[in-house]
Amino acid sequence: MQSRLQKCGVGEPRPSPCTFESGTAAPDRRGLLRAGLGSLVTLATGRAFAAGGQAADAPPSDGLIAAARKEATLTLYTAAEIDLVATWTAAFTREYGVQVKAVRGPSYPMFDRWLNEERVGRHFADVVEISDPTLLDTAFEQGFVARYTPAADAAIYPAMKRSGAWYAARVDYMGIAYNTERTSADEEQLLHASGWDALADPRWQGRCATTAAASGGSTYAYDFMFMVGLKDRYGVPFLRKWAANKPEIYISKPPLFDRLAAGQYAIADEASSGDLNVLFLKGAPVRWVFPDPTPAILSVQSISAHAPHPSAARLFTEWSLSAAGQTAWLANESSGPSRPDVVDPRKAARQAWFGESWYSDPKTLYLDYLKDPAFADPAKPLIAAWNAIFGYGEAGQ
Amino acid sequence: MSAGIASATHAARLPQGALEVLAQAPRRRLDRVLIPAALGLLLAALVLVPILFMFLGSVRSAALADPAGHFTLAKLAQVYTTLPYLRMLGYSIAIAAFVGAIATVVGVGLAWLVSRTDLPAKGLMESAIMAPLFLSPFVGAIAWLILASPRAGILSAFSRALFGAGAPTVNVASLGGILFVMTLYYIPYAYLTVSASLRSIDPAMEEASYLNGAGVFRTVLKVTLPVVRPAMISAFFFIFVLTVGTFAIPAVLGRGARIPFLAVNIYEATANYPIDYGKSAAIGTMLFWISLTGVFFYRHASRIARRFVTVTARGYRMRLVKLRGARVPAMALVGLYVLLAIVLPYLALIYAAFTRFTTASVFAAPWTLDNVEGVLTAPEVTESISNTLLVGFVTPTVCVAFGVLLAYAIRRLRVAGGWLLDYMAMFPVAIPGIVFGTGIFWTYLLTPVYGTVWILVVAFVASYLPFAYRIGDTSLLQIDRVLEEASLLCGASHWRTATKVTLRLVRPALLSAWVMVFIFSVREVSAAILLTSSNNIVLSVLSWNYLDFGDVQKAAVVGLLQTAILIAGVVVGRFVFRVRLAKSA
Repeated sequence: MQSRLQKCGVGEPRPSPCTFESGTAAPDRRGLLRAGLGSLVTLATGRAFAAGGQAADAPPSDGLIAAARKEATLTLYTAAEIDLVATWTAAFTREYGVQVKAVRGPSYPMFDRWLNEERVGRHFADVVEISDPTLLDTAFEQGFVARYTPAADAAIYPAMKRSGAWYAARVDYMGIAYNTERTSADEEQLLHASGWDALADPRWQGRCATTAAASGGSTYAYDFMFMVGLKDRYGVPFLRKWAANKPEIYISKPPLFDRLAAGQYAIADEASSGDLNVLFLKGAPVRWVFPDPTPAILSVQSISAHAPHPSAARLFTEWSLSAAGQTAWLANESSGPSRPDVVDPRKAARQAWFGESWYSDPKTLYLDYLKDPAFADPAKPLIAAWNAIFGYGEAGQ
Repeated sequence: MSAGIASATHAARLPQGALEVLAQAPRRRLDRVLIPAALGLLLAALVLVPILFMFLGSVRSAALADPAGHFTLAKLAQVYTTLPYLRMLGYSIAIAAFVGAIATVVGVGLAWLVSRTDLPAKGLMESAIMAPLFLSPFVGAIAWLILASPRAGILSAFSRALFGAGAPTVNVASLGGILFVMTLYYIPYAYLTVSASLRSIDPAMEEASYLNGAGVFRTVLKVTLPVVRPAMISAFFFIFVLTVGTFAIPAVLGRGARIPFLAVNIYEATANYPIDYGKSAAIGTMLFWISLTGVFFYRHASRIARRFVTVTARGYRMRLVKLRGARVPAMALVGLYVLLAIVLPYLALIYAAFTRFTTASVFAAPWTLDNVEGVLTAPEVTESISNTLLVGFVTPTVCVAFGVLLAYAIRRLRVAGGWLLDYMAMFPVAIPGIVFGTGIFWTYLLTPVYGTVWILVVAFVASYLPFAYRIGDTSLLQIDRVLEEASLLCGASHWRTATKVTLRLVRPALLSAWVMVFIFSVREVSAAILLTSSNNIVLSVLSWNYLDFGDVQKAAVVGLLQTAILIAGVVVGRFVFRVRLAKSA
């Protein structure tokens, strides 16, 4: 199983078996299965570990802990929500006595700011955490990322790391969210039964919303799946049908979900599990479905090559990628873990959404975009095409 | 220059004055060269360098620090010659003109009611009209989103509850909604500008009109309005400039409405991928030219308006127009404004702050104290409160000190190149905060202030210098120079005259300027979000961060905290220092 997983690894130089064949009317079932192997393994092993407990990580060395404590603090540049990060990093501080100062911003501006600071020799960031690994690939090749292999390296799914450069600390799944007070039972059934094609149904016209492809790594990856990865199954014709429903376009996902919960829209796509879970736990009338395949978005982190607190940065990386660190995040919110030995305790206990009849985990994850050179193209050419289809940005003026 | 010549001539007439003139020669060199040079350097560092970085950024293909970047005119060509941007330009100008016109008309109406009629409880009315200044436009926009989304707004829900499913709904997330919210929050600026003129016009002109048989309407139309017309034009252009650079309101309300607005496009060029600093800067230059034109007309109108604002020794009693039967409608008009600009938004914020998630079902709302508890116990909040207080205290103090020094040098010392200093001091008004923030980022990236709370102080001092300077300048113009000349003739030095006479006379205006810059500094979000770091987060940025993650509830709690700080500052100003913004601005 592990060897087959490695075939989907990002580091594979040859064409990956995860890549869908073009020219077919629909993705081959076996191809999809292979593509989503990582996720299948995640779920299966997750259940296994729910019963059996978590694997132990090699603890950080005493020398690293002592050096980190001497540095006393570290700065984390992150695209995650500030309160969630504060709660999560507080667990690290309790464990090691090292303070974490977080600077928050959307992935791309945060990454750009870090790069600009580094280029002029102003070193503030110790650890950088964003949603687009291809940017960290470039930064690694340009020498801005420190080469470091944490003890958790072997435990992270091959597709969710570039050993020594970046590692996913968690995974978000993207599906379709709906407001139960704005959708009928028939419509709920449609959403659960029709996969992504449900978005093209004209019944949503004027009752739906989406997020611009340009807003971040996660939205770009999501749209990349339809426009490139699965272009023969979906492609431009599908997006045109979705655009014909005139979704209101947001530049950031969370404000959209707030409006969805408030009842402004019946449905919204690009529904990331992390955002929806929080709203669901607050009692908002939201549910979601993960059509197959489900785009998976990685929150990846790297250590800055000139981190002002290098030991603290390394200790934090050790902790955040460890089973304990990932479990601490799950207790906080609920994204998926990036290693098979970690499982959300609520899932094991069938609590929260895990215990709801409408909920089901993603079946196959779409991660192929990470290996597609087109995705890494810094010009992000799909944005203009997406804007043209949806009449957004300059295309909409 | 003429002042220097005048005092020298005076001294020469006196037998003992010749020695004084000689003694003043080095001081005149100080006036002519050193002071303007020092002020010019300070202004250059604060204002010009960030603007130059903006222009430089507009001709670069990538970020300034990116070695792969090269010089190009492509971004400028794209922005200045292609249809999407020209259309956006048209929209931005039209929106700013509309908001400027409506806010000025309403502001003038309210100012006239308070200044020239027998409207009761004027102090209360004036405070109510000025109250929207305490609410950040950004937070106000959040509140209106909660109130008036078409399907999920509280007002729409009430409308449906009262009149059934087909009832009309309000949609603030539309062009009309954006215009409405912008206008609401710019009315106090028109009020401030015009009420000072209305209070200081000579009532003899209106008296003459009444004596010649003209009624109230005719007198207002033929006498009062022509006299305050320059102040109205000044208010219009001031609001025009502020609106064209406004980013927060269209960014919050226009998220789903696809409203083309240049200032929002600037933000999106630096927040969306691929990040395009060149495009952002190129749009910034376009906004700069528009705003600069607005500033030109504003300065011109202000100069004319000041001719009518004179402090004379002659006492008079203003004749107040008796509203009679129109009293109640007039009070209702003020009440309606207060309801829309303050009461409803704050009720919405309080509602959001105490519910678990946003819902229009007010009576079935999931009430909670978790948001308040969560915000008050978050370490970032404690830190951001202290940063906000620090920025809120230091920025207006430095800004007003620099502003009055500048005004004194230009008006009283008549330093060489005063007109240039005057223009430079007004430049920041012409630059949207979001663009200015980028310029400040590049200017100070290599300095020790970068990443600290002091970069916010620097950015805000530069941004709000025009306000402090303009208020200081206006108040200096209103002080009769005879008082200062008397002090000088009595042998007091310039320094002693400035501190013991001039400063004491302009003190109320300076305190007003302090309170105003305090309000702006606590509210500012556009430049602050670009300069934030782990050490300098302020409440406005925290609120933005919460909203960016869809946590409207915590954004509302932070917005309320911000308002509490603003009210505390203004109350101290009002009751300890007896500051009345409307009388000095």
